[in-house]
Amino acid sequence: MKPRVIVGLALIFGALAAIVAFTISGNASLEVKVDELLRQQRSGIDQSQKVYKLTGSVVGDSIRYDAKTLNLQFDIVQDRETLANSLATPPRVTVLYRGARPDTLAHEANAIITGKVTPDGKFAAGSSPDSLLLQCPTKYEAAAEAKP
Amino acid sequence: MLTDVGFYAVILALLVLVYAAGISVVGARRNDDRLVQSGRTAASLAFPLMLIGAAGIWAALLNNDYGVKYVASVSSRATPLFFRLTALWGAQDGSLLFWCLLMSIFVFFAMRRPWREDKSLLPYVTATMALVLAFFIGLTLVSANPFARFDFPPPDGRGLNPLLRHPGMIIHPPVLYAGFTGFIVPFAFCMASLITRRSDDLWLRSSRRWTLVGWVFLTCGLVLGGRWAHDVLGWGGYWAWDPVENKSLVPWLLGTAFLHSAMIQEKRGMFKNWNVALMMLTFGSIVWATAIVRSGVLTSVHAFAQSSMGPIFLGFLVLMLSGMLYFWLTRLDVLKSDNQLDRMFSREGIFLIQNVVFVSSAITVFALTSLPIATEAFSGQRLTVGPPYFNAVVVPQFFVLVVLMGIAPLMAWARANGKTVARQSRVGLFAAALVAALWFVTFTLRDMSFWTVVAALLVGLCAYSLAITLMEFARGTRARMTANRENAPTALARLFGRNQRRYGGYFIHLGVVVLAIGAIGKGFFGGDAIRNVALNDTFTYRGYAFTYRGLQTVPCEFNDCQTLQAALKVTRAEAAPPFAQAGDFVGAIYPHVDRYEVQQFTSTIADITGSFNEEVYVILSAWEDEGASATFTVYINPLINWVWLGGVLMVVGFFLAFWRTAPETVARPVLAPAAGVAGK
Repeated sequence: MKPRVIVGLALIFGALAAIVAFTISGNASLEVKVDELLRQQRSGIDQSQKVYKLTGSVVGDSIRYDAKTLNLQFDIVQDRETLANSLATPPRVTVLYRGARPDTLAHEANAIITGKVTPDGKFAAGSSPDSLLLQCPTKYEAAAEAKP
Repeated sequence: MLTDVGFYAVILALLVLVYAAGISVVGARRNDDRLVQSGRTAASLAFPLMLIGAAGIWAALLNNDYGVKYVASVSSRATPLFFRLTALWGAQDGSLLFWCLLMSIFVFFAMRRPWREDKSLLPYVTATMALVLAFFIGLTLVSANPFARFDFPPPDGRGLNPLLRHPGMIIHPPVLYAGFTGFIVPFAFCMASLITRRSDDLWLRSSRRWTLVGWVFLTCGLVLGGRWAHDVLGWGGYWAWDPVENKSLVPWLLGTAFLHSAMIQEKRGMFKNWNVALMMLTFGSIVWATAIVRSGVLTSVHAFAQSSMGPIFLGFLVLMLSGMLYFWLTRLDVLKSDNQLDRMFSREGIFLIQNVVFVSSAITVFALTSLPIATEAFSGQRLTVGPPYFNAVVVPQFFVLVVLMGIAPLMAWARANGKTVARQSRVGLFAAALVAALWFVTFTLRDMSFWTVVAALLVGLCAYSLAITLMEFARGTRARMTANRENAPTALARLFGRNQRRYGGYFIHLGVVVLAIGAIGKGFFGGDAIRNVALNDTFTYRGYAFTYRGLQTVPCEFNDCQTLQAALKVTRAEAAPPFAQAGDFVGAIYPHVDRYEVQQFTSTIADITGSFNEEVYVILSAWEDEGASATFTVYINPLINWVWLGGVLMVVGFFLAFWRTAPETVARPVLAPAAGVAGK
């Protein structure tokens, strides 16, 4: 292969890498679990401007849904084990979402929410449908094994 | 009983594969054909043994043997027979066993094929395939044993997840797995060629049809997965750049790049190094993809549960990559090109650029998907990017590919003539301008924005490639009509028959363009809204009127759920020239919610109406006072059916390229400097 072809290829890949490198920080969200988000809140880190991808397990009896206004609210905790093992109320984050209630929203479901922390410490999911995702069926078996 | 037999059969399969790998290498070293043939037979045995293994699980599923943990987690007494059979791939453990079964089928057929001129590759093909398959079987037994039993069996199982009952989900996993596992054959040939230090294209020729088979399964798997997500998950779309979707796309992009660059090696003896690297990358990405889904290392809606497989996969990947790198680096001397790339402005040059774009888009998808793991390793924080960023970085690369698809057929080998290319581009450019203008007037003007203007330009690009591809068919047909005095249909049929790979390939290009147009329609012009409506009231959205006629409970398809069904009448709220008038009836739709008591699960199923060019997709989101009012989510999906049509055309193109009607010879092109006519 001629050197100029190699230079050309290097330029193309380099340009692409540069585009990604320069633009990614403005478009990336921080992936955190419930305990980490709460730890940041406690240590006074300003969360208001950041976009987070928050994961946690849904607390079934906290789910509130208003079919008229489509306002959905539920709490999530660190993970399924926290739900199963805690006798006291484990640390939790309240999630707010507006839209159709997902089928898979149930106790112990693993939720992935993209959004921002509100001034009162709740977590507001974005408006796009993929701002609130619940683990799809293949994940299902873990729940089955947890309660044989 | 049969389940236990199945378990031991799988262990035996693992043992025969280890034997096959060992004895084949010893046979090759000692030049003893008996040992090599023994390895070949042993590797072939894996398939019947894995079939017995799968039959063991099937027997447990059919006999309601809930002592088997896997059976209890995916089946129940209420599960219909057919879904009990498909429950084999309903969850992690069974689907990994099924994956191994499919891989063993490919190994079986590769072993049983006639080995003639490529016999020297046989021992190492056997060894490579046997080792890879043995790893996956070992992984199944150690980390995801579907034969594991409860000490105290439950009286009934949980049943198959209702979301997995869609035909797309019944076919999608086997097809996608076949796509992944099918690449084991070309990969094994590639490794065997490297190990035996061959410099020719024998491995490419011997495995070309297998590569095509793997590719078409992967293509079907991607399209079916999109269709399932669209029909069942209730979000109106088909692609969300989820890690589990991306991991199937990366091998597809690399495999497609390989299919193209392999042609250059066959025709011109170039890109040898590149082809070996691409095949290794493709198979490496398949193992990476499997690791992602099965270890739960990335946050995804689709991923399987967290499992102990991560470190095992990592170990295997490192071992495999080290092996591949060793053989590649120590064989660089035999991988020298027979010819040099003289000019970029040639068929080879366009292929090179196209390959670079395929690989760069694969790397982009891979890097962005792996971003959380990479950033966690370096900074302790997991960074992730969403679909908008993927769209901005990856989709433009796809459109570069669409344009290259239009230019490549016009280029001559070695050295293309600029004037000729420009002359032959005229029809394409005219089509591009015409279609872009029509699109602009019909769609963009209705909803003017920067992005809808971009969409009109992109559709123009698609039209360019479409026109050039159709012209290739027309030119070939006309040439046959003149030379052989054939009528048009005969000439077209014979054109395909005599040049299957070329015209089958062009047909696949047609499918890609149609799919791209569908993606533009849905991506740039789709819309959704949520509306609350009282009984017998009407709401309007995007030119459609939806009248809510009530809610009723109806029997469920398999009598194991309660179905609550809403009735909606959809009419045109405004005229859509030239055919539709305001008030025209569009359809009666019944979006419904299925409630499964055993699984404590609710499934919202959309109903669809509209036309081929514009889909109206409605889900029942909520209701109050026994249906006195209800809330619907409506998605208007322009041209989404073109996405499915594009997928179908790609598969048809595969059959046209694959099905042998006449023996085909790979003629190396006769090169004339500054050839005036596009290369054949």
